[in-house]
Amino acid sequence: MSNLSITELSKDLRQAIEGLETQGDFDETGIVLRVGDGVVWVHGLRSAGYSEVLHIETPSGVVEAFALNLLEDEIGAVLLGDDAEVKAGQTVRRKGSVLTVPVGDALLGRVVDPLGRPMDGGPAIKSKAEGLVERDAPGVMDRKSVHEPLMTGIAAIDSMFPIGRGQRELIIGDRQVGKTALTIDTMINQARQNTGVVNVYVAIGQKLSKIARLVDRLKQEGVMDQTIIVATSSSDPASLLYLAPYAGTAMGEYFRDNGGHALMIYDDLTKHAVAYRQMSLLLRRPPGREAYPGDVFYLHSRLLERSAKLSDALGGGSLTALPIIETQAGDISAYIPTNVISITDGQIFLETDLFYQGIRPAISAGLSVSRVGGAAQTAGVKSVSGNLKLGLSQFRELASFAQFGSDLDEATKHQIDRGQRLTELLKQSQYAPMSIWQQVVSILAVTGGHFDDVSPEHIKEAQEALLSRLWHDEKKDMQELDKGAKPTETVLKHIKKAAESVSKGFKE
Amino acid sequence: MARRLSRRVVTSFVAERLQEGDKSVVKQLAAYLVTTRQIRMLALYVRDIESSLAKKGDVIADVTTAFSLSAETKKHINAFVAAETGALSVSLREHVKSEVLGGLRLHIPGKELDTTVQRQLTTLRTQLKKA
Repeated sequence: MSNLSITELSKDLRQAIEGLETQGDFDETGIVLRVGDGVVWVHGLRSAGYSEVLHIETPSGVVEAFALNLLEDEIGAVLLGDDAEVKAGQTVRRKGSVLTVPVGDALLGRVVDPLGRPMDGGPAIKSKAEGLVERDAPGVMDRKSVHEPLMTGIAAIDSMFPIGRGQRELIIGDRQVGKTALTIDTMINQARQNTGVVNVYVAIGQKLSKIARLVDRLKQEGVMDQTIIVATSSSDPASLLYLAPYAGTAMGEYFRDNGGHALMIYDDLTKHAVAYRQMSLLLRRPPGREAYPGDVFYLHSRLLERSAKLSDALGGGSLTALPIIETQAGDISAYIPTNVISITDGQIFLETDLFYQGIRPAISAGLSVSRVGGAAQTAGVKSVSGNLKLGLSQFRELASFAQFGSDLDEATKHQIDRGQRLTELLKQSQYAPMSIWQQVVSILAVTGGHFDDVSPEHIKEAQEALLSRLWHDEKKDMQELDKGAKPTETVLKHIKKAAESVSKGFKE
Repeated sequence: MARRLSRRVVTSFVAERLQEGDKSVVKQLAAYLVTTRQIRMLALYVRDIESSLAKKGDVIADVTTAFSLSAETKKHINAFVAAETGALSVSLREHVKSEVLGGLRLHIPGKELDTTVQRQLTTLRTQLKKA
């Protein structure tokens, strides 16, 4: 046994540390050359790395910046704080690390800025773990194909464009067509269905009043306890808007890497690209198409690639992403929309026309797609929604064509009638996500032809009546159905019987 | 038109010539700065030349304290800089500034050792702001 005394060792170590402290150490330093518009140019610091944090010493404290332009004679860095105190000639030091944010359970239920500082008036975040803001995405062998469903609670999405855990599904559309509403419903559904999925909502350049309303709503719905909100407003520096999605992803990755499941919502990446364009132009990087810098694709691809379903060896956690893109006059062929469409595993396109026709959620059946979600769709919903997407998009084509004439053959008339009923059925009010059994029963009632005698304007009432009757009469079967399995013959019979009985009450 | 040289290339050349004892390079540099309209960049050129000289073993160190230093302390600082940087020769420039309050700030090209009370107060102020 060793004669080493722990007390002696501790004493020796303390002495050594004291010795080190008194000796001091040289820091690499530079000086501020110019500052303006949130960008600072620094002379010196030749060993500084890309994205490394710099400390600028001002009379009122240290202001942080991160290096983005490493030139031969100077460094261009973006300030993370107010530039009012930063002046030419001030000393700049390297922090020696890239940006990190606090991660972990301590962030649940909190509203923070992209640097992890609380914005909700609560106490400082006390988290032992730190996550890298910029981090590599999991490699090929670290991943598993998407196979578990992430139920949004929105019948149109879960039936036609199912989303799997680890998938990146873009939500795209003009302003005020319900893009954020879709994501809020998805967050609410995670709490109502007890899925255990943690929501990370990243607000990029949003109005603070909108964020406050969102927080209130999430609290009302009891979702806030499993939600982290990373908030930036339009008055924040471009650097914070740029960092917000990366910081939010670092917070989500903590749950993914510990075998949990997290849902990232980036609201929205159009503003993120605009903030990056502002920074790049101020850093004098050459502008390209629409004045965006050449690496604007990489800006979003490296962010969204971090969303993944991990292999069993790594715990099987997942990070699902719902990025939002705002289009101008429905133009999805603009620069940023096409970039993000090509990066993601599908998109849900919201149409302004549908929205103003009262079809909400205003999902375009023809332009929306989910490329990998099919494998993750719940068996129950999958069994009833086979041709739903095709039928609905054909109906919309036919409906516009039918406006020109009234002489239609029986098959076309039938398709239009069915389409009208389906359209009515898939309308869903906000904050009312549907559970699996409700979706299966509702879709089956229309696609099975049980509601053919109900006029389209009464479909929603008939749906309500059917759901309450089945919950009352066949609760056990419905609870079983809610687990996601394919409905059995007996269950199908019960649904048929109830639907036909309800239909009689609405017969004209 | 001749290609504009980077500051690093110019200063490295000047430092080399100065070490070889060629003082005429100073006049040449002055002419270069005038013709290329870079007079306002003079301070940066000086910093870069000092940096290049330091790499080659000639270190110019600036020491800032609240009170003037004794000859003995200066000797110690000289030895400390030589040991830390491996310099062949160390020239010390002394600055007395009451705002540092105590301790010393030792600046060598590209690096700084700051043990002043002023810096400690700034660090404290930042920490209090974060909390």
